[in-house]
Amino acid sequence: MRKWSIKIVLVYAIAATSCSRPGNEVVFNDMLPSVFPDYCNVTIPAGIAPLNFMVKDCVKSEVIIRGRTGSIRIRSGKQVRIPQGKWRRMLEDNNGEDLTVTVTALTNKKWTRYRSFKISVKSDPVDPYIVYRLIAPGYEAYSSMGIYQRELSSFREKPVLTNRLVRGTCMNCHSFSSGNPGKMLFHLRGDVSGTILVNDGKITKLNTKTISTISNCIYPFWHPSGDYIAFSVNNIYQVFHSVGDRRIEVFDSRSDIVIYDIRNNKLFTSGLLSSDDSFETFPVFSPDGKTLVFCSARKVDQPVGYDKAKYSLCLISFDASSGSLGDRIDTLVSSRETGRSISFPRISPDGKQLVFTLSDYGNFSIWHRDADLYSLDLSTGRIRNIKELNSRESESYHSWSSNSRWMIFSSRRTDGLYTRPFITYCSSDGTFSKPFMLPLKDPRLYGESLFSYNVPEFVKGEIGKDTRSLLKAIASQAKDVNFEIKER
Amino acid sequence: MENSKVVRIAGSLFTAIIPAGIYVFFAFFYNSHLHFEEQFRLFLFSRNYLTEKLILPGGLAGYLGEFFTQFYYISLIGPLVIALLLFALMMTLRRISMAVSSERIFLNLSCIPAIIAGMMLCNEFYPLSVVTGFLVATTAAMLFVRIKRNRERFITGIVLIPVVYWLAGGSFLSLLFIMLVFELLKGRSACKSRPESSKGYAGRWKMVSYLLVAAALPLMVHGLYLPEAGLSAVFGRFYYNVPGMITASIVILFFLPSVLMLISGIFRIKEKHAVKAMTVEILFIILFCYAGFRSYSNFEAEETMTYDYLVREGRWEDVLIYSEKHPPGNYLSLSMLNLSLSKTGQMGNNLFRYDQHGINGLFLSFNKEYVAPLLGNEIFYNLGLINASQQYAFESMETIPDMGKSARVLKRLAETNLINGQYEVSEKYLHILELTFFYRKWAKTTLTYLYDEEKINNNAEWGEKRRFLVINDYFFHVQDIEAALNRMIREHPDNKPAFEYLMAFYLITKDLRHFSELIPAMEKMQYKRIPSSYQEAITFILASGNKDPITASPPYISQDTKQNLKAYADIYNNYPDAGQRLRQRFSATYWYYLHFNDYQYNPEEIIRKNLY
Repeated sequence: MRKWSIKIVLVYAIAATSCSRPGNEVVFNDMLPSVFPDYCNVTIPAGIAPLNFMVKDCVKSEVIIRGRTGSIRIRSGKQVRIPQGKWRRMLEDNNGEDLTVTVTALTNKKWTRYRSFKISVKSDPVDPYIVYRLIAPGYEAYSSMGIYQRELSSFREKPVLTNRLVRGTCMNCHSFSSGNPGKMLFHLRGDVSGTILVNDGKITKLNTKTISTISNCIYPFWHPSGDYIAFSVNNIYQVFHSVGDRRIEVFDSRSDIVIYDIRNNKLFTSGLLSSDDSFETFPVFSPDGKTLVFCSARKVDQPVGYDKAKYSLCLISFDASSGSLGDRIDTLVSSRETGRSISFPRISPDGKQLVFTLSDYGNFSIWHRDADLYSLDLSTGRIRNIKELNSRESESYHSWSSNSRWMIFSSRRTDGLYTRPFITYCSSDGTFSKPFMLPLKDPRLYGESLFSYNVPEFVKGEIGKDTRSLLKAIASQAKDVNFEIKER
Repeated sequence: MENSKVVRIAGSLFTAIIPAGIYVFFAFFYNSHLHFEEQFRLFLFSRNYLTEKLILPGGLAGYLGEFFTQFYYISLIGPLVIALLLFALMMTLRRISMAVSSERIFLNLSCIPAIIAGMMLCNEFYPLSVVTGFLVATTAAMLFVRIKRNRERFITGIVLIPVVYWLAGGSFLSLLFIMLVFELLKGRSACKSRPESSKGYAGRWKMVSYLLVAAALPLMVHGLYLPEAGLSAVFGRFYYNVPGMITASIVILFFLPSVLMLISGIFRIKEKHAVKAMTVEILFIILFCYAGFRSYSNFEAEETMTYDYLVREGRWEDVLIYSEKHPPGNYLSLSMLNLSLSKTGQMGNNLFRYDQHGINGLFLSFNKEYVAPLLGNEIFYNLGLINASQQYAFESMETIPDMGKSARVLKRLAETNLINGQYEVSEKYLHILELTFFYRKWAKTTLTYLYDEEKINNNAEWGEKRRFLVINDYFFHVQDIEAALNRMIREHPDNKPAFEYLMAFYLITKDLRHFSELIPAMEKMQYKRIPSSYQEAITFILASGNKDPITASPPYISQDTKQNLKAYADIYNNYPDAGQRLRQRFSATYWYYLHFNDYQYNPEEIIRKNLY
């Protein structure tokens, strides 16, 4: 009896062990494995955190990552967690090379080996941090939310400021001067309001509403010198659709562009940027600081004409030494030619391309499923649909790394509602790689999380200002800004 | 029987009666509060959820509190969970008390903090983690007081303070005070027995050490790790549902065990007075329970929560039965009653049996709080305004005071997205609900509907909602509900709920002009019998147009209506106190509402008020 018991235990142990790893009975499948996030054939920077992923519909998995130098084998369930130390060494040893990833998965008691896929490791570095806001993709109310910074080489995410610290207040529109964490700003709205400006070690709270401007300053962009910030001022409205696949419509009933002179605490504009006949918004300085690019649409009656507002891409010259604007506006891309509407123009720091979001109408493109990313070659004027980045859901806000080689953008491709950050490599010829979703220690968190990643920005270092100093500034009296209209 | 035996038996009985009484209270008198609490929680069996809690001070208390709260889902289990937790709390407090006094008379007093914790649960702003956190602290205190050797006890105390702070948050103060009082009483009794000993001096140093550790902890955590606003820095997030706020009740709760310990340790009751003292004590506790539960509980809110619960469960007839004994006291309840009338096909007949207070009793506005939009979403959902239902449900979740998430809302969002064909989002919500205990079965079943158009269309509930989906887009706001309902009827003339709500809108606002424009649509609705309030309105319109409503009325006006009209008119026209005379027999008629309800419609009305 005892012998039989031992035999049964042995047989069971052998059976159990034989199922725990693939052996000779592996079936080969020529398809790519179904993994989430989809990291098949993506391009990554050498300093990125491990691309942990899940193998869908399996019980166990074995993943082998091979480079020219070294390999990593991971045996696990459906969650594949790559050891951080081994991953870091693998990327260092294979910097500029391709990694090959082979997934073998156990499903229905059968091991299947899928077609291997590549992960290209680029030697072009990426900025070490990104900053984004986490907020539910809601309507009028918001629950827990905040601005967070994430170190790209690890999974470390730290809050910069959350509304648990400043109750009844929304923080938004974080923006950095050329990715410099020591020169940044964000807005506060609600019980506490103002613009928090971090500049050269000082934190100032500004009241940017003047009697001559429509609103507080809203969408920001820093001049490369760090001495000016262009803002839009907007009357923004939000309404709610009744038909299933559309939820929210956000539009401006009025908008203008102003520039904030930091040294002189002065807001100024010109009549060309504050016309009553048009909506001007999303200002962006060129990398050389000599041009202000922005979006402009002919004014329409809102909300009746909400889908008639189509923004063109325009520019005006800017002289930083005198703080003055040009005397004419040129159109880079006309909405009459595209038949559609441009938002979020962003010029690569090397000045070669301008990427913008194109949607059927309006400017709040995250709520438009038709929103896609387009690029404008600034030397040839050629516009193209960046098909390699776009999906059937919204692709919207984007920002460049400081070396122009990487771009991060918001996409709702995973489910159509919750925005996720994707990173893509931009080669010197202007083509983009297949984007990869920001890696998480546990990718299941993307499924469980009820937050969207909003306004992802590359930053060149950790934000050094501690929460206490920010809170002190937030509690302080806001400094009023002055305003003038400058005409040449 | 010896006094001590009487006291012991009485004490044991009393200990059993208290949790039993609390069970009965929550099971049969205050159950809807538990359902209300449960629906605004989302406990997930996932590693991420556990980690998110445990990285915060008080996280274990919060995790356990939410774990147990999910059992409120079952009406009789929730109260049992509360009773058992409070019983456990009582037992730990008894053990602590016994460590300083052998007098049983004081053991009953030690149950008072547990009773207070039970009272606090009557207020929906106190989560169950008040009890679980307190229990963690008292359990630690119980372990502490059992250690006989001074050095071991001191080291354990120094370790327990930060451990309990991390696991249970602010209730570590309760542990701290118990430790201080225990050392004080220990020192006092040591001094009495050996006055020449230096132990009293050593005891003071221990107390100072405990205080220093306790004071440093929140400062360090707040300064270095987790800045929090207000008193959350000391107490953590899990003792009150408004972030940053802590109430006096919580502070008193944490202080109380040590105060009672002090009393137990200092005072003595003579054996001959034991029974009298016990009697006084029990009477005091009974009165205390009565006054305390009355003070903390809110039976008006309980009524509204009962309406909400019955609607959530789709128990429409039960809503009507409930309203007979508990007529709606606010718009929240009234709107749920009216919804139930619609769902049971009684809106047209019985709307004016109930005290209508304007159109806020039909539709609820969103007031940047979490209750009205949750109830309001039910109305939109049942009318077929799926996007509006989705919006309200989402807003409700985003305004939950403690910034948590809601299982009930996620369930509704999964449904609205499924109906709208937004399968990926619906799938996301369903996968989250699969991580719950009580919603996972529903989630698994619903997952089988995704991408299967035929299956969804054939589902009795979702199929009907799909049939009535809005066709032509427009921007929705509840203030434009009249226009929205008109659009719905134009797009789907067979949408009876929308039609009846629009009729109710016009009847309540006394807008008989627009009501009469809907009469052709009413005639096509295939009513077996035209609802009585419509008949009454039509006869009134005829009479107002100088036509004889008895002879000129269309054939669907019943004989009963005509006879009632005649009787009504006889009294109305001939008596100056007609209102009083008509009330008993005709108060449920539309005529009575028209003549004697002084409601005046204001188009701005659906704005901010949900109470009257």
